[in-house]
Amino acid sequence: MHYDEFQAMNSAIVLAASGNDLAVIKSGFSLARMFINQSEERFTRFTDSSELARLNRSAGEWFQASLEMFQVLEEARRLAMETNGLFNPAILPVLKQAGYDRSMEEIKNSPDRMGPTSVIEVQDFRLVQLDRETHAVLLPLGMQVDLGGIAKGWIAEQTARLLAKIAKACAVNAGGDMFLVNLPEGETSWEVGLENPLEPEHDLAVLHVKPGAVATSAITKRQWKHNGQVQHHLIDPRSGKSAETDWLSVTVWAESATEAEVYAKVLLIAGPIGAEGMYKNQNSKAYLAVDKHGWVQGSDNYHEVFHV
Amino acid sequence: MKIIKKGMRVWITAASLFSFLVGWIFFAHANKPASLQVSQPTVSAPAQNQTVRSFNNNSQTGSFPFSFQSQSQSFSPRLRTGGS
Repeated sequence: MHYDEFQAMNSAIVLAASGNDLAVIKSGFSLARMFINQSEERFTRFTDSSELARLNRSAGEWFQASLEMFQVLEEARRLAMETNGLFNPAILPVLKQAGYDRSMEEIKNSPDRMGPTSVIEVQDFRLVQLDRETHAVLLPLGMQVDLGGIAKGWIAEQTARLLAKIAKACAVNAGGDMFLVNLPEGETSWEVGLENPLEPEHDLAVLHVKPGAVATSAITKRQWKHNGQVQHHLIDPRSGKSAETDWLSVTVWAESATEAEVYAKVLLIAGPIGAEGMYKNQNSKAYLAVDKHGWVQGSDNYHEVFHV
Repeated sequence: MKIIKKGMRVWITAASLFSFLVGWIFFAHANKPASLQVSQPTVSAPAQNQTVRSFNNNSQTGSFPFSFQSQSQSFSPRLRTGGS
């Protein structure tokens, strides 16, 4: 197995590909890097010139989106509907007010700041209008969206599918959102370390995972102080505040990376009791959750995809 | 002589009985031993006898289905997931 590791999208990226021709693998890695960098420029909310920034400025008027942007928005709306609005990319105004208005690197290098504390009502992302024929998008007036997580999952999957054209088996890991294609030669599963949310440099367990998508959401990874209070990036759209949950992290296996990413997020927000209703009729997915005491809980089908 | 022997027996019996009762009362009123503080688990290997709670029935959220011990993995795969 050949590896390529670098930083992009404020995350550690790992590309893995198996094949006999090293030159072909290297060219595959170069293409993959190029695709990831282009996608980051498209989906970032931290530059004014990105397509996402232009989309947010267009709220209230129809916007001509690229095919890539349209695909992510369409998937986001489908998953928002499927999760009854608990997945809601329109939380951007809340994130900004909570202090997440710059990249996490900049926030961590700056002191606690003060800002307004009024409650912002989160708009319903399901109200976004999409025209499949023209790829035009209409955000309701005032809506601003953050596609950070779902876009990262989408990019990981698309990159893996790109690499799969030149590799027998490959994997793309974008900061914990990963997509696995086929199996390494002679193996019956992929080995994936499950990070301890309390000690991220250590793994809780080694998961043996079948091909597909794996994503983890955690409230311990992106934390900062604002108005003297610890904030994290997982906003509960029902309260308009950082989610209060008994779980620290949730890891989901699904057939698509966008589904794994979104379900990791909503199960974490829903917590142990809410997850029960959320998870009904979702037998094609499996999850493992870590609580504040380091205990791990799994869905009843977790053993079908995660062997710990 | 007999009287002395008899007196000794009575004295030994009485002293034993008194010592036993004093000991009984002392231990009965002593502080109970403090329970041991078990260190918080962080996780390395799954416990045996894993039982997994079903999410497809109406069971209430109960005890967690399985746990791990507080040791880090000595081996870390290249692919890791821990939240973005």
